[in-house]
Amino acid sequence: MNHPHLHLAIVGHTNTGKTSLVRTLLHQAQFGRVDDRAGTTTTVSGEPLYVDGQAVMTLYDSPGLENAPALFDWLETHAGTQRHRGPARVQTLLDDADACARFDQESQVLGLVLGSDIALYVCDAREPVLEKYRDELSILGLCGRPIVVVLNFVASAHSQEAQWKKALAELGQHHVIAFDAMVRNPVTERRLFEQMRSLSDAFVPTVDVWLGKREREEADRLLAGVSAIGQLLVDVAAIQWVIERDEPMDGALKALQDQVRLREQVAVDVLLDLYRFGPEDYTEEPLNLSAGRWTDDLFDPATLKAYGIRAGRYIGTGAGIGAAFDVATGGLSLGTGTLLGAATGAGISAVRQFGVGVADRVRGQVRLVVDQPTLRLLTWRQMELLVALRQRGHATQAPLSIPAKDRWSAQALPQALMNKRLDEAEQLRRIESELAQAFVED
Amino acid sequence: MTNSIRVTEWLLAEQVRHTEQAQGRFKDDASANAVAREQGQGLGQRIVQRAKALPGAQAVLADLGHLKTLFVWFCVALGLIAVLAAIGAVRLAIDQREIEILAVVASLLGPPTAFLLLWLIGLVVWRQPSKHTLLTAVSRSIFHRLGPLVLTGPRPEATLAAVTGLLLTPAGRWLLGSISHAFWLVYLFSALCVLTVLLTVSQYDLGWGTTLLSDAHALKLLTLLAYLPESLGLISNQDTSWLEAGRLGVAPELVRAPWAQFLLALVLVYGLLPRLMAFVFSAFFAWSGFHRLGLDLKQPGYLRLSGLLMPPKPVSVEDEAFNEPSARALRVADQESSGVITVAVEVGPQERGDPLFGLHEVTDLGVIETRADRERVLGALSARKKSARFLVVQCTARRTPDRGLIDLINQLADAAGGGLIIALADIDGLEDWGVAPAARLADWHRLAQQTGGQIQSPQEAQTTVKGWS
Repeated sequence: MNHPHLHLAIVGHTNTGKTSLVRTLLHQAQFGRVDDRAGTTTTVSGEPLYVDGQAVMTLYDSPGLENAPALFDWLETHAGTQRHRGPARVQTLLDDADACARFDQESQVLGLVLGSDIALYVCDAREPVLEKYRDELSILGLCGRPIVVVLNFVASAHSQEAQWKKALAELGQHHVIAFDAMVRNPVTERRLFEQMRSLSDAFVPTVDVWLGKREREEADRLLAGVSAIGQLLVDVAAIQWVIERDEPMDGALKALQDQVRLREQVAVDVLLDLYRFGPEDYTEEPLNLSAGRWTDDLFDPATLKAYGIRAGRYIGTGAGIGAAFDVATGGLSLGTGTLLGAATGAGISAVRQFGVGVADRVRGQVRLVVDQPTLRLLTWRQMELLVALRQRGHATQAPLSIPAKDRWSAQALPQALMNKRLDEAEQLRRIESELAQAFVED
Repeated sequence: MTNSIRVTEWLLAEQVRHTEQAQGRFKDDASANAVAREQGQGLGQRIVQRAKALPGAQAVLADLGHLKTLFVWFCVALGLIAVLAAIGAVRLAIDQREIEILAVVASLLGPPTAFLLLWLIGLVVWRQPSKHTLLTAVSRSIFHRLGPLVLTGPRPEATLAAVTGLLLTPAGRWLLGSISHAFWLVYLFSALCVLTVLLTVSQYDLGWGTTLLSDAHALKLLTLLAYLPESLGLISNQDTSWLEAGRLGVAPELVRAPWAQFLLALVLVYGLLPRLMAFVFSAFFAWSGFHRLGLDLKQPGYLRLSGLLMPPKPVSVEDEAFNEPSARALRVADQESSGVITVAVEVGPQERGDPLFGLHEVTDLGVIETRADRERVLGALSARKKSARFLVVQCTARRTPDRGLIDLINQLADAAGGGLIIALADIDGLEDWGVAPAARLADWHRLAQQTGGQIQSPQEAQTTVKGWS
């Protein structure tokens, strides 16, 4: 299907988050350059948005407006007989080489808006409504294009959203939306496009087809994320190490733990890739995910505690992982009970499945698997990461934060994980379904 | 699903997906990703190109070739088993000179017909061949037991997982269904051949008998069975007397040939033909399924690659970068200057803070908020007979300095004459404001260079002014 191509200009004062908005709308952290410095974007650049291989709209990022008061004065002085013909007045400016040299940034932006179908004016809601911002909106209004005002940084404690809305109403700008470019909120994103749709009947099909694609993408990504966590669970639950009952277990424990850590890291990488973030997005530690890697060790009892998960009794009595290793490496001939204790402290348990345990006992072996508290931790902290990634804007440079670690602590493991009669594909499908259900309920 | 790809490519891509699911993305996949991006097609094709360009791809392809050979041998073995089973079944069914035709038909056609019915029931229930079939289990078992013996490439477990995954796709299930039907076809065809040979070279007395049914009911059953072969023209001269004459013990020598033809027709019509139809049906769907085979791009292992392999294609807009305003020399007061002028620029209602200075020679021109304020201040500065010792412009670090501000400060400083101090407030609260202090201060220092002023905190500016006065 062919839809009219929508050209969308993102404009605004310098350093208000225009490039951040483009990144967040594109879901691409690589677009342009984002910095706290003024004038980071120095040229107009565009990015087409595709649906089924067809570009349906193009987002144009632009340099900031920096000298609106003087430009406003120039346009007033040169209005001549065209006072009520805004686009013609802007064109007069663009045809004037001296004016273009003096207002080089502004003339580029005005040229862009004249060639676009809709303009998104981004303003920093923390700022007071200065006269220069009013000048900018008045000048942009001369271009004769529909404008949606995007109030950025509304989540800040310093936001002056109400003052901005009042001032914008005075300027005749009633298409205003609060949209924090640092936060990715599918609902707000949809509302932004719906505002655009309401401004131009011609682009209703274009916006609709784009919104449809976004919804599908969002759902696919979420399901893929849940699937990745489900696969992690199935894989980790299947990891087993068999050791002789009298054999020191530290080597096997370490190997098993390393295997689980590696598998968890793979799942973290998948989630980061799915939401198009990379390890470089994380440089600090408050969310325990540093450089794309969990900093809380999966087998550290303190990590279980931090997530509100009750660990085995051995952890509670102080026989933590360190003590367990000390005993195990002492080369003593340990009974199964001691082994069990040490293993539980290390996030491992000796398993007695139907049939298997008996056979192991006859052979004098102990089978080590990852215990349930650790599996729960493994599951729910990936779910937390998934939640955080879904809400993270692609312009965000601050570390990822997980606000409520213990939100999932009451959640049990998916029941299908314990159902040994299911084949792997069916088990995975049911686990995914249970995790998705938990996600929706949360 | 995406555009169709070849089965080998599908298997290779799946092998990579299984590997990366267990071990993470290949560390040295940058060049493979670049190759895939250059491909320029849909995501599915790019994933395939990436898989082909990854290290070890050739060895995996060789392994897939080995597994294909194993699969062919498996099919050949199945065929041989079918032939042997058919010979055995026929020999068991007609081990005496006197043959009860209904018993022979039941023993030869019973198992294949039962399996065919089960297959049909599965088809009705699941709308595609079931994945829980004996052949599926046997195939998987053979691949997993014999596979490692023939695989020499990297990550054989991932290769086997990919092959198993293929067998569980709809196309794979239709393929297994085709093989199952082919097995029974060979069995039935072999049985027909053996029967034909035996009936040609040996003499048997064929007929029917019954213990439980009455003769009338048995005749009715035979009439029903004969209807289809007769309709297809495979038997003729079928009438009641001929059937009645087939009752065991009633002059069998008169009806040997018609009954032999009848037996062969029954095997052909009720054994071979339904199997052939099922085989053609399954083979068509298998062929069509493999023809449309695509990767499930919703799998996390594939979807995660979309950002990497389908990078944005920015529109190039030919705009030149701007020229920065030039730096100017530090403004200094001349000997005849006097007094200090303060003015606040771009500060909000609560941002100007405490009044500065309060010294005898300081003139405060207030806040510039509007055009009128600007004209008023510029007018007041121009009206002065002597240049000011210092112009102190009060600003807040919360604002991002821009060209308009640079122009304004330059106009004010030109009109005031003397030195220029930019008293910058709110530096300490920048982090709370949500701004990186270093970046913002760098912008203000750039403004100072472009206006010939000095950045000072309000306290420093106070000290400077006091020191002068």
